[in-house]
Amino acid sequence: MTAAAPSRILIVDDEEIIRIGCQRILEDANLIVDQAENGRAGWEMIQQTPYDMVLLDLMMPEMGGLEVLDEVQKYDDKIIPIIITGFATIETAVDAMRKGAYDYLPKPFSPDELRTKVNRGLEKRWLMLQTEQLREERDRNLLELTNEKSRTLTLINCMREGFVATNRSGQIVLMNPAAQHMLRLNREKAIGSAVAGLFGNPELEQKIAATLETVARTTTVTHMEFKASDARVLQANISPIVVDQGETLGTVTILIDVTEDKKVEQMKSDFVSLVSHELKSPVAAIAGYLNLIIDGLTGGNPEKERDIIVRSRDKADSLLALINDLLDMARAERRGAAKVRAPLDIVPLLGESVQFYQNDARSKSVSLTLTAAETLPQILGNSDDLSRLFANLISNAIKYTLANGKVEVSARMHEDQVEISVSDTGIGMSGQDLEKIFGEFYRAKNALARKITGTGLGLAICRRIVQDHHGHIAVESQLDVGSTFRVTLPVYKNK
Amino acid sequence: MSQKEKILLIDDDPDFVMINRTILESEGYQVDAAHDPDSAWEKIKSWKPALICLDVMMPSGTEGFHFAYKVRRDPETQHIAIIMITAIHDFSDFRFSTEDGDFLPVDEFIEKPIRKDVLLAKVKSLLNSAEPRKPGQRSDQGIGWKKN
Repeated sequence: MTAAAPSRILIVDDEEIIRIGCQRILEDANLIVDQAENGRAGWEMIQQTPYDMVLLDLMMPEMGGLEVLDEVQKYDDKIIPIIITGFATIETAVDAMRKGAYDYLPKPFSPDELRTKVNRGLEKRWLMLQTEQLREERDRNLLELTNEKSRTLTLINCMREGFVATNRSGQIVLMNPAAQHMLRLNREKAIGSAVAGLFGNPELEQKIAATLETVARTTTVTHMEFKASDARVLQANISPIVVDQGETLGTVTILIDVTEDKKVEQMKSDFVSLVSHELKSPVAAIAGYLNLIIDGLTGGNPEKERDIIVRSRDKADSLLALINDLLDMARAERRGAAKVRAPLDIVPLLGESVQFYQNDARSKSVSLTLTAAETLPQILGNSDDLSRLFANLISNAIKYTLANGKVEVSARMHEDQVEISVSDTGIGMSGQDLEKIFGEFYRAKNALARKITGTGLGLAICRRIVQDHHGHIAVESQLDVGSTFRVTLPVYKNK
Repeated sequence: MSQKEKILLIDDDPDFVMINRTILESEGYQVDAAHDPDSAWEKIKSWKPALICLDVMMPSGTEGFHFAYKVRRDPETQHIAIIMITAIHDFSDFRFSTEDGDFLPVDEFIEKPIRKDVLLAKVKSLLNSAEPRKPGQRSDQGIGWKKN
């Protein structure tokens, strides 16, 4: 302990012979020794140099040993004071000891007595310092531990996932606000309660209990999904808390709200069965038609056979259109970097679409016109997608408009957005149809609409394209009067 | 070929109607079609078919069942044989079987897509049923109704 820094000792005595004697003895023991010839000088030195021990003569001029002892005690209670006294009475010794002296040396004393008492004193000091150091360390550790604990708790309490920890007996020891919310439990009441019967979900409770039972060498996680009381779907991942020896001390359960994921999953699977159904119908029809011919049910009537073949071809065409629409829809779904976006003028694009459908319109005796503002600001978009959007809206309008009707396409500013509208004098829709018209495979059902072919995806594609361009699409319609589809798109701001 | 019984196809799918009309006509049946319940009801009343093939989903949900109950409750029409056309296995695992006729007011079920021999066999057996159907023979209640 003293190897690194030898102890430093001050001898305060007015008898020079004592000072020199002590110094010589102690220096031989590898200690650093200073001298002071009276109490005042000694006290000043003590304040300037850090001493481990002070040897104090009691009877000195200027400042007596007891007085110095007093000051030293107040100054630094880890300096070890040893009293040297020529009047070796029990009373003075006891008095000095009572005042905090560590030991006393009655004059005359032998070198051995001096060495023994000094060494013991230094040892005492070392122990004191050691103890203090340990206490400081412990306090520091405790502080860190407390900080760490509150930090971990803060993290757990901020988790979006529910966190529930139980002890070995299946009592809840920790539960974060998310878990409290998901399980609709009062946290204060829940903590300390047994899991059994608390969650209102026997399967979850049973799985936690089972996790406690397992002797887990490797950490195994139990997954389960369940419906919470408010119909939200929760996923629970239960793992045992295992210490080194393979002993299970409790369980940790993480709860994740997967309601939205489930909804998306359901939507996907609904869409797949819907698509399969839509793909199946035309194929089944084609097969049915072919069987009529193969089975010779047409009675050799060539007109009837031709009719059946034409119908089959139409079904094949509609199947192709449906597949193209599905591909378009997948394309409209793809967002982000894969899509080329450029500032573009809407009016020429609209003009091309209107031009393209003039023949269709004319063949149905429907007038198709475009009215556009002279100048319109550019918008940021994908020209292929927007062409598809306009084509769908215009072809739809022509499709649902009877002979001598009108389809009017227009583009103008509406507030700070570009508004494109396609109005027709067609068969219109009922309120019930309006709500669903942008959904996949929804087609208005009435006597007139039955005769019109379509995939049921056109408007769903329109909606996706518009949403992808941060725009808005809406429809107004009146049965037997007509419909107006309005698309608004944000203006491109060049910055 | 002598003119056989009248059969009414009730389905909003024109392909289904066309294909089954051709099949049934090739066997000499008189066939007509209706696309929706309202026109079907009119046709049943005026044309008086002996058998109807009814789409269960038409035009939405369970409308086919309601229509079948309507046919059964009317004394003028309750003797008409009903074949229910089902395609709902696209969306569920549920299957109809003839046992369901115990509580559903129909005589037979056929799943889409329809096979020619199955259709003709069921039509023939219903129309050639030993006991001719007479008005008032059946309960007007759908539930508990059983054929024969």
